[in-house]
Amino acid sequence: MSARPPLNPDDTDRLLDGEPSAAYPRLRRALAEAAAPGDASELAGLAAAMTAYRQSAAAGRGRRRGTLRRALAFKIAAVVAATAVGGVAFAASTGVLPGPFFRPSPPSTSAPASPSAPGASAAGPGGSPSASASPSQAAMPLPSTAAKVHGQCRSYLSDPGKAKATTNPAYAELVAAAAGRDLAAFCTRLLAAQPSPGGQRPNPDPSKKPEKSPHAVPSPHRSGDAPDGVTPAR
Amino acid sequence: MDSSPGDTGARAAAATVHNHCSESGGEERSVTEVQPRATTDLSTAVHAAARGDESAFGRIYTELQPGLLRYLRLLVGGDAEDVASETWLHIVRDLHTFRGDEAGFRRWTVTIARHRAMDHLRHHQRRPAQPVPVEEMLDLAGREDTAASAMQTITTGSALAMIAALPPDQAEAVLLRAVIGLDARAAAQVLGKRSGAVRMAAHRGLRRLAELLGEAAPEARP
Repeated sequence: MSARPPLNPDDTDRLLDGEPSAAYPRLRRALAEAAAPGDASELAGLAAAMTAYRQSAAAGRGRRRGTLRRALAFKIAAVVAATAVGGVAFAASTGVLPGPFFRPSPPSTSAPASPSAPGASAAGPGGSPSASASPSQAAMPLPSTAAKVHGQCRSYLSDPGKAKATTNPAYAELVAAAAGRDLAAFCTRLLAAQPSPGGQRPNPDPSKKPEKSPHAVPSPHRSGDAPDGVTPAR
Repeated sequence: MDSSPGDTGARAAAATVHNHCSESGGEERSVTEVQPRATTDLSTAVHAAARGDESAFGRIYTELQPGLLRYLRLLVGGDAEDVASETWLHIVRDLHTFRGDEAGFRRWTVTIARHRAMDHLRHHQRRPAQPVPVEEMLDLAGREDTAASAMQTITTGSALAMIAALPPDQAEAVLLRAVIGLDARAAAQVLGKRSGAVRMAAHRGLRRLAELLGEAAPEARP
């Protein structure tokens, strides 16, 4: 036997680390054989592995593209949202849009709060123009032209500045309705025929009327329970 | 031991040198069949493959697959091919996440292979049978007059069979060190053991192999 003393751990480390040594040639040979390059049968899966690699690489590119697409879409959406919000804010601040913090525009949402709705109209004498108005019209804060003319006649007759009536925009509807006739005679006839159309808006102060008319505000003489522009609880 | 191809090449070269020095022409002829592995660093190929270089991936596969397959045969026997395929699917999927050098890549891939093998065994609720009876290997224990034939008998298959016949912890330690090319510390990380325990297991395994090959006195025998 060519038996040597049993290996010690340092021999083992040297052998496994491949340090050159003349000792234990068969063991060294066995370890080299165990680590020999693969033969054809061991590499038979190469084609399948390459296919998997190609698919994974393609999927990886797709994933990266998808991530990029998502990131880009998010940015675009963010920009669009910011622009939209900014645009709305700009429009609202410039009065183009009825902003939530602006009252001056005539929002239809204030209609339920309007005492000029049928309930209030019914309080007056029947047959008035506003009483015949459709619900949608009744919901409109603007009084009908006839009612306007009626109210403007009342104002005109009690207005000390009658001379300027034809140029006063507060009497625009009245001037148009009179169509060149004498305003005092026209109004006297009108009021005689229809003492109170709708029974509302006898506005003693015509100078305020144009400003107030677009508002969905009740006539203070009628409702009296809500200050101008404030929604009364009904 | 950071570069297994270099180590393997060194081992093969050492074996060649030894056999050139020996007096047996038969030994010399047989040893020339053991080709040293390429000694170029695999790190470059790993990084290229992570960037989509197919040929680099092919080189990695050719370099690592034999060792993985031999290791997996130890763990799962005849299912090694299937588990190796699963391992490579995992590798190609996560290749772009790998950061490190060749030693780290070898450790990473063999760790994946080992986890796949453990999953496989859990799923099938069994351990592989010992592929080759150890007594069969004892025939390789050469006497003086058959040293040349004993040397010729040492092939990749017989060497792996001898290692597989060792107790499992020794066989795994020897394979990770000698075939996969890990150092003791990396092998310990793969096995989840202390480095000293792995070193001792490898030592016992090699001592047993030396006995089987007739190069060391049997431990418990006069």
